[in-house]
Amino acid sequence: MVYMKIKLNYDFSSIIGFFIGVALSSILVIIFKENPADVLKVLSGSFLQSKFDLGLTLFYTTCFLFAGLAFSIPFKAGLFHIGSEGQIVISAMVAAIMGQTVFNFFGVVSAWQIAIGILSIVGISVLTGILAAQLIAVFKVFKQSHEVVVAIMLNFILTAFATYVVLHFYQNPESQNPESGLIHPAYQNFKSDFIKTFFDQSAVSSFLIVAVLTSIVVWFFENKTRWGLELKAYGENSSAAERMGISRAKINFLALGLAGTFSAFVGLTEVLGNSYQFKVGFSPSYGFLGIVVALLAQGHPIGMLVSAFIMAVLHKGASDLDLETQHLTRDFSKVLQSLIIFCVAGAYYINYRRKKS
Amino acid sequence: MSLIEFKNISKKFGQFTALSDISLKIEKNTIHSIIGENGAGKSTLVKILVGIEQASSGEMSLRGQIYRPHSARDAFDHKIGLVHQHFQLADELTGWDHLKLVVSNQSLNFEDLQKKTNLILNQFGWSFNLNERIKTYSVGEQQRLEILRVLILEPEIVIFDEPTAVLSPDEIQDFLNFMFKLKERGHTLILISHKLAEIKKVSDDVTILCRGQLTETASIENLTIEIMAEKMIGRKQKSIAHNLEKQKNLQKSKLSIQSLNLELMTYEIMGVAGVEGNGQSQFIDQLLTELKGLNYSIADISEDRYRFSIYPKQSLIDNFLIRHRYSFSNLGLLNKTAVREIVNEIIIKWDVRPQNADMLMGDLSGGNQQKYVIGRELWHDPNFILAAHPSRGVDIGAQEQIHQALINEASLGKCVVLLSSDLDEILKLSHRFIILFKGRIFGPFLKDQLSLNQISQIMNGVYENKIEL
Repeated sequence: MVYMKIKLNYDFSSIIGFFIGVALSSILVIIFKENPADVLKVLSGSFLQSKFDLGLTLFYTTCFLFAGLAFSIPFKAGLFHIGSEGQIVISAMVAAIMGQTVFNFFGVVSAWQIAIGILSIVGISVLTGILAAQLIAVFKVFKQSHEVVVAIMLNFILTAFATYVVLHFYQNPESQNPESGLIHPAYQNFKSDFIKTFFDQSAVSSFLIVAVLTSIVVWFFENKTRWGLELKAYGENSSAAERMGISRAKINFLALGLAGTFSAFVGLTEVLGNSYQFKVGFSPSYGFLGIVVALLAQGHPIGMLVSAFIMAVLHKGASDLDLETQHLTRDFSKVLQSLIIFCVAGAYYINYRRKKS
Repeated sequence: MSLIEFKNISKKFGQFTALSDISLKIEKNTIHSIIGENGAGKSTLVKILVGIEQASSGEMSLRGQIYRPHSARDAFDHKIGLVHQHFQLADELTGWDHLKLVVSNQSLNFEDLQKKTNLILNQFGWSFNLNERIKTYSVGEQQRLEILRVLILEPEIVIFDEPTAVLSPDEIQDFLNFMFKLKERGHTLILISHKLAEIKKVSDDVTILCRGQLTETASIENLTIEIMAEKMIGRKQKSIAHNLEKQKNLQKSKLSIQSLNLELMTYEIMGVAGVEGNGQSQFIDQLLTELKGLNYSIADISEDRYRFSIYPKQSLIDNFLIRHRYSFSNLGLLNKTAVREIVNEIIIKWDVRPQNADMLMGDLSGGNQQKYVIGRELWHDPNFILAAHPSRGVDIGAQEQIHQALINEASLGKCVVLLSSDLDEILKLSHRFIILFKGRIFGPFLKDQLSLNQISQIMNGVYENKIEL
């Protein structure tokens, strides 16, 4: 007899939650007089219809991966960070504005001028994301307020602020839609990168590679660096961590700072890699979908590559439901996604609490 | 006919045999103690009796009939009640709410509940305010509530799992008297413990388990504390090498803790006695804060392992690494290979089982966790050692090892502060000791300066303002 002893350090509650979510959605689908098998086929298959569709799916994967990381790092430090959405929107807005103005300072004649321009767009956008996230940390550390409350409120405030700024100062004069003007053409060089070309000018761009590299770096950070260790230790037993000299403020600022960075990259993926402008409501709540991505992979940065792709496939499929079925609309696909999020998060927490007691 | 009879009970968890072939009888209206070290199988035996676990083989009979409980509910229907070691109380509720919850599936209205509760309270002369929230209760009160919870359901057989572990000496005495009263009222009591002196005082019969085997079941008259200890650990107890005379020629130096107005000495163990909740945590806080300010290297064997010392979901290696992270990182990068060797050394030196550095901390038993924590804290050869309740929840073998280690460290010129609620431990190990009462420090006293009676009086505040020593 050969014993295969594979120790899978994975708790299956989120997968079970995922399937419960799918099952509940199917029931809803039946109520709306559609065939759940067809719907599931659309949901799971539409990403393979063409290179373009696959490219769109990989674009979602990129955004989900960044958003997932923005949730998982604070989660390991014991914070339930749902403020990613606001950070994404505000840093996307800053990136779009910078894209329209920064060439005035650097010029766009030579290659290095363009490079500096893009780097400063990235840098300032990331800085904005970090600052927005640190607002949560400030309230948490100095005012003992709960991070969830502050983050939810900030989501509204930052989104509304971004909309206001764009509509009143940077509205694209050639468009009826609420959106900013395009960034300077010199900064649109992701238009011609090899990934985009390969996928027939789909939404995906080289940011996909950045995202994959980031998750590897995050894995390294969590397992091989002192700060990563301190962060995990604090998240697991904060009183012991403080007794061993790990500062509460440091962990909060560090975790949320990283979260803000990753959130900003979601915005950059959109602005520099896809639409080259800020469209109001461009995010199908990446910040919240990132929570599911992180929980499905149980916060494992490499596992998130898989869960982000699964969620992207679903998301792509959901947006096609409108076209492929008679009664289901685009909004209905949001209901399906929310159901799945609800079940994954719910299953995770039920299991977590059961283990704790 | 015996009330309860275990016949050839065995219990296996996978490959591991927790209990092998246990047969014993518990007579009606007696206090029967089941003793053994941690991991000897006491708790497993009780879990089988109350239906939380099922025996792998063998059977039980209750009142002459075959008894096969499948859940705690079955045991309760057979009038068996278990008082847990870790209180299962709802902190945010008031005492009354909690009791209401307990009887919620009984046909008992609140008035009857009140009558019944007051009857029990009167019988034992207990008084505490059931209108308060449970989190404001003292540990002793919480335990009484836990007992009340069980007694309200009128069990015939009451099982106490390590009941005195959290109590002060006075409370322990009260508790032992309480056990006698329960016996007078016709209950049969099963006491799980490893405190031999108490067992000697209250038990009628004793059953001793050692590594899953039954080594003795006999009437208490036939056993002395020494014999019980020997059968419990499977060998004779070591005597601790502790020689005060040797100390005369040492160059002791002082270490004063200004915030506490206390002078510690190198080569010395300073005991800190006192009933729990008399300022121990503030004492520890101030001590550590001041020492950290002075840049001392500290071994911090904390007062609450789960809260302050371990990360249950991390491996032993990571648990070590978090504590000594600055010694094993370079430019923020960790060096795990070096740590593995050291962790293996600690595991062997302290006999931590199972011997696997990749085990998760939470998968170790409490005693092994404590041994590992102490090994970890002493690894960097600190010059100050805080040992708060170092042997709480560990078995006699490990306790000997811990005590010996503290004495060795002191004899190497370290400064040791031993804080414990176990007065015997303090008096056995420390050169000088202080007593905490209501946040005040009494002492320091020399080892034999006070009689036990005097110490007890200080601990309970009789002396309060007039100490003439």
